[in-house]
Amino acid sequence: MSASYAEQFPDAQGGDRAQARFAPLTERIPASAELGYFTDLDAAQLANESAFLAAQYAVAPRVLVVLDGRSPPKWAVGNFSKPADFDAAGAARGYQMIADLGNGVILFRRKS
Amino acid sequence: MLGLVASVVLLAGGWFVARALTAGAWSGPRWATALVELSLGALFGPGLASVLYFALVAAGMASRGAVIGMLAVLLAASAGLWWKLTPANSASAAPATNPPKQLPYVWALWAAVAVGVLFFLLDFQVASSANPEGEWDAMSIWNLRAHYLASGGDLWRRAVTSELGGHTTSMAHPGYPLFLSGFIAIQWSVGGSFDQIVPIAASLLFAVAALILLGASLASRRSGALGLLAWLVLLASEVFASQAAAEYSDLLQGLAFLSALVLLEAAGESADPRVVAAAGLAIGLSCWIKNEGWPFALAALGVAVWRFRSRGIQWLAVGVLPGLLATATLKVFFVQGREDMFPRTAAETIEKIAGAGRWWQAALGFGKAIFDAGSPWTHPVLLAAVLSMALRFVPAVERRGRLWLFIPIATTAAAEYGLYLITTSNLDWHISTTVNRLLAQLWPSLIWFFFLLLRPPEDAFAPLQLTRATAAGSSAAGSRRRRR
Repeated sequence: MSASYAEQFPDAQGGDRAQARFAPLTERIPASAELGYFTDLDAAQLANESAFLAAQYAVAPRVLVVLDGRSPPKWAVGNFSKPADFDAAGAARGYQMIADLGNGVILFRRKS
Repeated sequence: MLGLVASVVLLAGGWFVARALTAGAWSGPRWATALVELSLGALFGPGLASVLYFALVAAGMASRGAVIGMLAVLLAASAGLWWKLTPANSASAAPATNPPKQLPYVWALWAAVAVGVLFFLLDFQVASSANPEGEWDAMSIWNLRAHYLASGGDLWRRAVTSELGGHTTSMAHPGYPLFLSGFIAIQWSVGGSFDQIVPIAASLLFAVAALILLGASLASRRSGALGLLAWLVLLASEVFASQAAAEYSDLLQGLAFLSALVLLEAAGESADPRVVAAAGLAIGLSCWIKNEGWPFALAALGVAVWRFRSRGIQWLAVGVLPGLLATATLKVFFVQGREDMFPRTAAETIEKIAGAGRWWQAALGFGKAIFDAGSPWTHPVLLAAVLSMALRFVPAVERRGRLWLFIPIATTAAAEYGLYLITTSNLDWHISTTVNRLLAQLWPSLIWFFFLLLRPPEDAFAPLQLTRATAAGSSAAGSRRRRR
């Protein structure tokens, strides 16, 4: 049963895909960094938690911090599921877009 | 490659410790004794190494060279222990509890076990290939924390803070012990890369060790055929097979529980200080794996103190020390934040316990997990029922004499049930995502205990063979009489 489950749902948690998507980010940000995290996924959906988990696993030992009004880290990463105005999404949270790393992964830097 | 060498060194060290502490405790066939020692070594070596590794990490000294040095010291010390403690003639030191009789057609059981193991390995291979990073908790807890531990400097502290995981309930477990993560991190540190084969191999190692220990310990202490049957029942258990490739701590926890019970049973009659210390080591390490190890350890220590009293109790304490001390140090001095799943006030706890619906919901959860534990026609409970009818149980006096070994299992099950009563998480979600794993922790021990109460097939079928032999003899005599 576990084999058939695995065959039906390969990379069920998205770990492999996330490592490929976030690889350009890990090359640019030091291992000790804290990274702010935001996304266009609905916070109430399980997909949001899955995406966060996969992203956290892919960028470790960097740590992701959900931006919730506390002091924002210097760097932030956007994890987007579809094309959008990434500049505006960052600006709304006090960040400036630095690079579109492809596959919905956007690197931001805190303004000021 | 170096990571592989590290794991071989750890297993060799574990085998030395297991051999030193348990040589002479097993009376069965040589293959069974060897397998018991190997499987206990798979708990002791990685367990002791992860405790030492945690000390290095916490002291800020976990460089690659220091970790290699630690492994060398561990290997040398365990070899020294083996040299000093192993009795010269360990084979004759054990009481001969194994029936000397041989079951006919035992080769058929061996063949069935071989097929079962083949299917188990194929299942593992497919599941691991599809999800090499493991299931949810592997990525959110065990492998992720290993990543932090092996990253050097102060980054390891991220593994023990509730900030990790963005405050999500399923990811922030700052107080979870570090056996599995430490074992993986050792190999990553020594190997110099985060090779995904390491957690896969660790997952297979602990699942196979639990499987081997179940059958080999029964073969060694009771009967070869019972051991083979126990292997078949565990191999038929979906709850076991499906966890093997998950890269979780639950089968490791199951290995520690089973090791502790097997060693307590082996030490039960003579309270041999070495075996008592080995039991203590397994009990202590069970706390260093998951929080579920605590109720088990408290119950196991309680029954051990009651059984052994003054005989060897100090050795039990010596054995318990590494796992218990590491866990207490982690929780008292290093963990930042708290588990989000527990109530914050006594009133909230009482309110949850008073909800009758939660009791029913938790019971249904466990019932469903047992129902899902295997396929209908080879369900382990069905197999156990058939075996109990065919072999029957040992006499009531013997059954009562072994009941004490069930106390740690029952206590752990009760604690796991109690967790569902008080969890602040959504109970449906909590049960559906954890109950199979909790059952997987106890499953090998439950099967072992069941087989401990069964009559060996060699005994159960002996009268039948005798009757047939007598009948054949009478028939032959009758024929001779008729011929005369």
